[in-house]
Amino acid sequence: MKAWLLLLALTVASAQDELRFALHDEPKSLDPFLVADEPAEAIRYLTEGVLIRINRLSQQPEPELAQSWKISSDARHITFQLRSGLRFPDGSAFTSADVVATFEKLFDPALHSPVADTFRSEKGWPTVMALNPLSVRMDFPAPTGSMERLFDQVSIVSARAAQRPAPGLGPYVIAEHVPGVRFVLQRNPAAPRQPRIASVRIDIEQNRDLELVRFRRGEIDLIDKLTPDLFDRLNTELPGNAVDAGPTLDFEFLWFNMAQQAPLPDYKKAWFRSVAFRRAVSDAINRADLCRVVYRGHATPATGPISPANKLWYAPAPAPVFDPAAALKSLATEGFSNRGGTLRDARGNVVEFSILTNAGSKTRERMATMIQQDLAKLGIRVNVVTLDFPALIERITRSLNYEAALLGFVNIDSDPSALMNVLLSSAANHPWNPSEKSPATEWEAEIDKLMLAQAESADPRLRRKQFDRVQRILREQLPMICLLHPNALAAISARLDGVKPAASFPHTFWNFDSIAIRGLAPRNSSGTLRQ
Amino acid sequence: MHLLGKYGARVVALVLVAGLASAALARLAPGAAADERELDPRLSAETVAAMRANEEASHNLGRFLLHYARGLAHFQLGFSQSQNAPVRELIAERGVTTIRELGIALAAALAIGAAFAIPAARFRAARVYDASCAILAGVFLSVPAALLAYVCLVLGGSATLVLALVLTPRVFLFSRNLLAQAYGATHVQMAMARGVDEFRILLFYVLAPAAGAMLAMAAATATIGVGASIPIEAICDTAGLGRLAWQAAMARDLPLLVNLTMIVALATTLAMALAEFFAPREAIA
Amino acid sequence: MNRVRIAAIAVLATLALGALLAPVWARDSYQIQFREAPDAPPSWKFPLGTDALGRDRLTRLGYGARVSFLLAPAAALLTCLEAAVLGGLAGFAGRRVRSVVLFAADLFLTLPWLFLLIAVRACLPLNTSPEISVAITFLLLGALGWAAPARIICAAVGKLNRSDFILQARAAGCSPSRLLLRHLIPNVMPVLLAQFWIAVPVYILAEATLGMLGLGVSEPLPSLGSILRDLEGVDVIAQPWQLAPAIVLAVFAGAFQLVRPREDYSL
Repeated sequence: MKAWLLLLALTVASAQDELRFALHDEPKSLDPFLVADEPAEAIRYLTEGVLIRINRLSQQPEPELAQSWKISSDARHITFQLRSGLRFPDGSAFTSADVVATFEKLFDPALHSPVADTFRSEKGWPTVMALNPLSVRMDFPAPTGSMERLFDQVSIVSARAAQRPAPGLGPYVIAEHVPGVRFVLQRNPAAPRQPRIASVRIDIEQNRDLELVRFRRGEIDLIDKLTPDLFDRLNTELPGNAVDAGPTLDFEFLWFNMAQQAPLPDYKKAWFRSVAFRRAVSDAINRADLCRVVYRGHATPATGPISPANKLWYAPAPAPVFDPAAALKSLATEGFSNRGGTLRDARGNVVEFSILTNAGSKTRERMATMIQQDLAKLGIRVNVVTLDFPALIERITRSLNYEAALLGFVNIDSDPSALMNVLLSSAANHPWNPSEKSPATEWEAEIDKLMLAQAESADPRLRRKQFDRVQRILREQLPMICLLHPNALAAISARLDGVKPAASFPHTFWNFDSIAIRGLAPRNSSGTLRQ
Repeated sequence: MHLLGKYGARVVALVLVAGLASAALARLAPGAAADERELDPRLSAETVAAMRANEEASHNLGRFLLHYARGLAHFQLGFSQSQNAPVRELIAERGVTTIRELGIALAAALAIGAAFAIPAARFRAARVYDASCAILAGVFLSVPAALLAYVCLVLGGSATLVLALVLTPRVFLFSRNLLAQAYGATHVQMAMARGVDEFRILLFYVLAPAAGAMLAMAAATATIGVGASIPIEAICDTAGLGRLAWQAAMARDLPLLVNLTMIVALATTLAMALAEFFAPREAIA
Repeated sequence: MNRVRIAAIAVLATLALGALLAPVWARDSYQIQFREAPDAPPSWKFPLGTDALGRDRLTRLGYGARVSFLLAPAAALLTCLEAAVLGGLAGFAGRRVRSVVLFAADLFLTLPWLFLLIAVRACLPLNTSPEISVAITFLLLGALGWAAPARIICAAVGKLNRSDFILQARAAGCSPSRLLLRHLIPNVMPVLLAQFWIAVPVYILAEATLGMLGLGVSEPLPSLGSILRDLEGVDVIAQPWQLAPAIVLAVFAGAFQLVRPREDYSL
């Protein structure tokens, strides 16, 4: 009897010493080099060790597997001093050979790793060499600004690992994985930063209503990203548990298809290429209403792609304009006229276009509907088209058979180089005109020059000046009509201590070494780094 | 034997054609070869181009069918990109959930439906009871399965409960009519007039002759349950085949979609075949 | 006609009239957003409150019901026509034709048509108006829904084909086309009518399900499905007026159930 009671007590205790939350989808890949979606990034963040980790709150780099690092004055070399005494779960010592092997595998061109691409420049790949068992140097072919931030995404794997994922030096290891159902992670004794909670249970829960129901029942401790509706509902029922951490680094934006090869009538292409037209559309959109009505006040109107939460790179700018009268005047200068409530261009074509967005996102559908109403006041007819994601991607990246689109951009890193493959005119993800052979406009050529220059600059002040100029061009030319920055809305159980919601992903569990269960004595030292 | 062979051939043919048709549908639909990972801003132009080339190659219909046929010979059903797991494992895990869910829901629907139908069929004069049951059945038939699922979700119900609520009215209405006809038969009237025990009449004079039709109804109800499970599991977020089918459709996951279609085809045709076997041809088309 | 059926017809007529006359009784357009009052509770100005964008719920319900009540019967008619042709052919023409048609019907019952609906939506020209887009959705539902009714028509025609009066007509030298047009089809009409009555609420519910899954009508045109989708994330216990569209849908579909002749109830 006593044995059963002890077993029961231990079971209850271990269930208590467990952090529980949900992901909205099954990770597409558990290979840390191929992580490209949020669920996969969540698992990677909790199970893989990195040389440098970006503190999501301060947005500053912090040492993890690397004890320290030194960047050369020409920003071409970085030397790491690795932590000594660390061993992988298989017992082998962590040395520079593991770091070298990691990067050799990562930089394999056949792998097509998105993480690897952040290291690549036009001049080629960096090289890595071990200086001694605890020292590694990486040499870049060209100066690379803020290079230390790149290492936050690189999971260091053992040189002896036969496959990926393999137990590494992250805070947890995967103890159980039922595809589409759950993950169970256990504390990794080999990790230098020990989490305070022994295990993590992550359910795959697509239905957000159900997720909230489970949170209210106490079956889940955290919801990393709440929708505005559910946030307000939770805030009414359990005010202390709903946390608005302020603007994220993300932004929602609308853009017009300016690709030359787009299968659109020439007169429509002419509209979309006209900065006066884009400005008029931007001025006619009531961003304050979008924030207040769609996001229930949990968003900030945007003037550009950089969020006010980005302490390092945000450049204060005049508040976004809402001036339909000015919009009409701007259109009049281009020959547009409003006759009988319908806007027509100089040739008499009715101004009508469609806005494409993804089905299933209520916030985007509502924003598109509000924009439809705002532009109706100018006499512009807007059709809101919601498509499932694959069909949407096919249109905006391959066939280019669309007129305008409304999507969001998720920024994991605050550095402007994270926007390189969006702002460079030759990039495949350059939204308004992908994969340009040469910049179609002077301002795009200037953005290309400035973005490449800031990426290769070692001088933070010069980088700042160059990127400020990029932001100014974006505000003048409006190839992306930035609408708002959503806030980080989280649900945090009263059972937890030490959760500090941050602006970038993962918003709530980034500081795994500080989060604890209230009332439970820590099993070992509270998250300090091992020497 | 001949009948078995005939039905067997038909089932196999249907399953294969259904698989082929769903593969064609999936491949020809817009976005079949598109992957949202292409939108990752970290990717260089070369990597995006390489990803697209890979996607186009893996979505070549002929190549897929050949590869699938080869795999089928070794009981391999392919790999699901959207779920990051072999299709065989996924179906084995999720199939258990759906079969259990459907089994319980069907059993409950048959038991409850018949329990309400028997008094309605026996006591035709009890119009209030009959009308109330018909109205209640009508209400549940009139609410979309998706909405029922949502309301049950909010009230803490499960997918099994929703399925039972979807199936029970159908069972009730069919059973009531069938049993009413049976109770109206001359030999039953005669038995009642002779004072035969009610329970005996129900068991041997009413249910026994109607057993074939009831079994056929059960089979047909099962096919309705299979169809209803997709929106119900998608909304209730149950890890069953229905939700898997929904996810496969959204992600254009060709291997998963083909396999699931074939499973649905197999279940539906087996049920139809059972229904035809048990019931007179005129009653169940 | 019994009292229940009369009451059901009256309810149907009232709802249908109310929906069709929505442009007459609605004070404002279903598109107008009263942005200072999103998610407002019921009031004199907004008897059913407003939705998340401040649009009058009652007006949107009226227009949404109009879409469903107009197009669902059209889709059901299309289904019945297809079922009559294919099912009639299967029941009349002989074993081989019957096998082929029933095989096709089984195939249609098993394929993932949700997927086809997603695909068709994706293929439509981007500037297709919401009205045309929803009409195409119902047209597709109608075109794809022939399989189950066709099986029933096939069984009915098959049974009639073996009946005495048809045998007599055949023996008297009646041509196949005359048999079909003058004897079989008129006698199968009650079954067809029953299938029509069954199909209408089925298509209303199907569109509602599509709307709840995010595959419904484009904004700003409301439909019962898109209105029901707003129930996600809502506390229906604290805001019971939000269930009004669900009640209207249930009452309408329920009235259809009650209007159908009792002996025609089937699965």
